[in-house]
Amino acid sequence: MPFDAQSDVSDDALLILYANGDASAARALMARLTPRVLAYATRMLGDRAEAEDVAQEAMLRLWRIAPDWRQGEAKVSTWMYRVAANLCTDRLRKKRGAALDEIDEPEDGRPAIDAVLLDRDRAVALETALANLPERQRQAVVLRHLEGLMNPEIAEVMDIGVEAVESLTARGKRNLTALLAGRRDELGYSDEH
Amino acid sequence: MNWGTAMSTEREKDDMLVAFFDAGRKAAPQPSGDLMARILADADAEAARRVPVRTPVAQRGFWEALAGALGGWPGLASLATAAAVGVYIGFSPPAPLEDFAVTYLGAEDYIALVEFSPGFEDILTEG
Repeated sequence: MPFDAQSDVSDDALLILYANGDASAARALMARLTPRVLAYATRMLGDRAEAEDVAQEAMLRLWRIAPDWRQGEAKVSTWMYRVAANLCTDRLRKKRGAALDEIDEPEDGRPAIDAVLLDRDRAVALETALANLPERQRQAVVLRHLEGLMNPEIAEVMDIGVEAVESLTARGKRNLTALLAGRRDELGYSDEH
Repeated sequence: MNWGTAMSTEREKDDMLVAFFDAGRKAAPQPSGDLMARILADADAEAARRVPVRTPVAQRGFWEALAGALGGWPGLASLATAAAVGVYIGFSPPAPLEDFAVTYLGAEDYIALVEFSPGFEDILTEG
């Protein structure tokens, strides 16, 4: 039976079907999970090519664990975020030493002062601000507010307690607000948003 | 209103962030066809790696299948040798074996066996 990303079959049922040789189950899982992992990795790394490598590696690990997957023990999506988070952390650590001084400053030539702040510009501003957050705060904010995970799930992904997640998210948002407000002042936007 | 000073309440800060988060979600990158193809190739390769390649018995042929069942060609050769020796002993038993047959079966039975099988004694005597 062919599956698609929108079918009612759960992720772990699809994973077990794949382990039993169902190729369409692999396609459905890929369609469901790859966009999420790619988006997360892109926001964490700020580099599309590296994010694609992370997404491919995370999916490969999923294919490899499929025969040993125990249904009901963990959510496949949580497991995927956790794998992707570790892969991103590894890459960020490698880059940190070499490129600590190379964090991009906001580029010149931003939208004209009198321009309406469009979604695209907001997204770019958010991306820049996220890149300037400490890694753990960025991770918590991205998982909560962009990927839509609940705090207990984020705690599982980050391997910390729920209270620590709440603290990281709150500090992350506070810092984001300051960073984005600074950009607004710098660009001279009015109060519309 | 100045963004740096006027947005003092948590509510206002949250409202501003919500707009940015909404925009960020809409701008989420979509996987390229090339990435999806690479991931699918990985899935197929892993699936193929898990299933060992087996040659069906029908394609191997009878003798090859038989040799496999008996432990390969050395096993089959041993079996053939044992069978040939058995046939040889059947037709030309060594003298001690003939004596044993007379002793074990008794002379009458042995004679009956010889009479029941015309030519059997000739075979024994002629080798």
